[in-house]
Amino acid sequence: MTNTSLKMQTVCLKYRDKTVFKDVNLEFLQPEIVSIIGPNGSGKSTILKALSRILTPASGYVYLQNESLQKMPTECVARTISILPQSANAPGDMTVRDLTACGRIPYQTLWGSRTLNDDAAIDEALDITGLTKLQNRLLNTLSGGEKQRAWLSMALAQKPKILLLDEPTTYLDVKHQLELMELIVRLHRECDMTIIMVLHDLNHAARYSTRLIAVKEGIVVADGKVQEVFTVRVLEELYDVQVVVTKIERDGCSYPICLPYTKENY
Amino acid sequence: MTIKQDDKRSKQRFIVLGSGFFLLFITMFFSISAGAVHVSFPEITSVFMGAMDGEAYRIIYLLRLPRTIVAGLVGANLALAGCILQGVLRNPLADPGIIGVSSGAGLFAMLIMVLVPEQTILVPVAAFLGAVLATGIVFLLSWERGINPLRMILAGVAVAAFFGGGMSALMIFFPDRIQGTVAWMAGGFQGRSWNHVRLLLPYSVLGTVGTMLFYKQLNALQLGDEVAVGVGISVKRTRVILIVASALLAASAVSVAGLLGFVGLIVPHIVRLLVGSDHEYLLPCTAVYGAILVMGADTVARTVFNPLEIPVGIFMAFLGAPFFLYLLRKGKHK
Repeated sequence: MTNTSLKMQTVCLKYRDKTVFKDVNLEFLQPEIVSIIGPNGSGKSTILKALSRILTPASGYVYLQNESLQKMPTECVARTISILPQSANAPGDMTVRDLTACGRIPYQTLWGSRTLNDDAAIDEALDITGLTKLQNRLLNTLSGGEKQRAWLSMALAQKPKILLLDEPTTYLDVKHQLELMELIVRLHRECDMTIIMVLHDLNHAARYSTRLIAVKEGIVVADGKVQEVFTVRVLEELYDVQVVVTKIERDGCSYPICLPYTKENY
Repeated sequence: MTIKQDDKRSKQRFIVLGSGFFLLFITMFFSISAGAVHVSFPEITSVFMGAMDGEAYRIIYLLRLPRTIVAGLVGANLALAGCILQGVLRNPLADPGIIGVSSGAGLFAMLIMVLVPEQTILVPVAAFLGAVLATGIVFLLSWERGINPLRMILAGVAVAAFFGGGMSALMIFFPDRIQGTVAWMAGGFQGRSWNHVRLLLPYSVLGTVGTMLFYKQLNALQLGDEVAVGVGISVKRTRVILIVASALLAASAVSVAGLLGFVGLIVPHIVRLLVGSDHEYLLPCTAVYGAILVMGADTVARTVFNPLEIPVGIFMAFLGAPFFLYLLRKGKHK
């Protein structure tokens, strides 16, 4: 069963007076994994910010299950959408569990404190991200990969249907990158979650997503299944480089990969 | 192993808060008993049990108790204001001075003391208005579709410089009248009465209740604006509410006690070193330890060189700064 979860309708996005997007129309289904790709400054993160109400559209609407995102109470939205911004920073003397607990804020009333429900959700989020054993460690004693998982654990404690990730694999080594991507696929499969993320690594985007959106200079250049977007024509236009796109067969699976190169030889 | 660690942390928080209340009680007792005339323990208990006559009653009820309470409330208000500001502005150097409170209160109090010295009774009110006015100006200057923390700090510095210039001008033009203002600038509690308690109490209550309501928001704001929005906090509204609350807390304290710097900056840091950055524990501990610090400092300041009284602000700076540096070094080694 799939239906529309998030929808942007003729959305215009601005930072002060600078227009980043004009008349964007995008629709996201429940569940799917969507990666937004494009060069630096193309507005990838801006789309995520609009979808998570961090940035209010100058005109147009963002709908969450057919309700206007701007008109919904913000804590209601927080129970459906989680966002992990690009450069999140927390006080180093917080524990992993403390950080995860912050994900329960949208479920708590002004006067109330934590309930058993909250504790269960925190335990589950720590378990999914493999942090149960590290839950009482201070954040400044963690490695980059563990820290990123701790943030993800906070986002999961919100019990979202939609997870927005802004370059989640930056600063991670290859192994941790793969582990994070596999965790995302698992969340999609087991919890029917929609994951919308900005990725720089094209091969990860092609391998783990069900759909790709390519943006350049505030325009959606291509939007569709991986095999439709992950082509020489689209990628060359998108990044202004030469590209070879091919497939690798391994253990009965085929992975699309691309190799970009510049026009000059050296 | 991990569970043990957790136990240690919550135990430490419990110990810090518990011993805070114990110390508060002890300090209060000493503050009431010590002074030009020593009041003994049995005398204090008898007064608190309801004895309504005798010299001890008059000293305690009219002099010591209001002064002790004022010192405690001022300490709690200033420390809370600093703690909230450091969290909201995400800047460890934030203190009530940074949003214009001290300079506004200073200039207005000085205006009264220098221009209409016969109306000194108006000093607390004028100081309060000055603090609120200066904060209002800082607010307007830093408004850009919500409060921008960095702009707020810069605007605060500019406004403080402007009001400071006003104070310097008063000192230059009325050199014969500034004598009385110097003590007020240094901060102190000489002759503070129940009227001052009444001035402070509403804001202390407001601050404490606000603390209980808003600690989660403060915790979320610490993670950055985007994360805070993500977990469903209305960042702009929360920030305005919290800054206004801390401005009122600080303004009430400064208007009663004069320019007591230092408390709002240092106490939150000391407490953070002890209990961590979770505002659920940080805020109440900060309030309690702020009260202890100011109450204790006032007691010592008026007794060591008896009958001479050192302004408590000076005393606190000499005592607190080295202690803070010691804690910083110790924290680094850990």
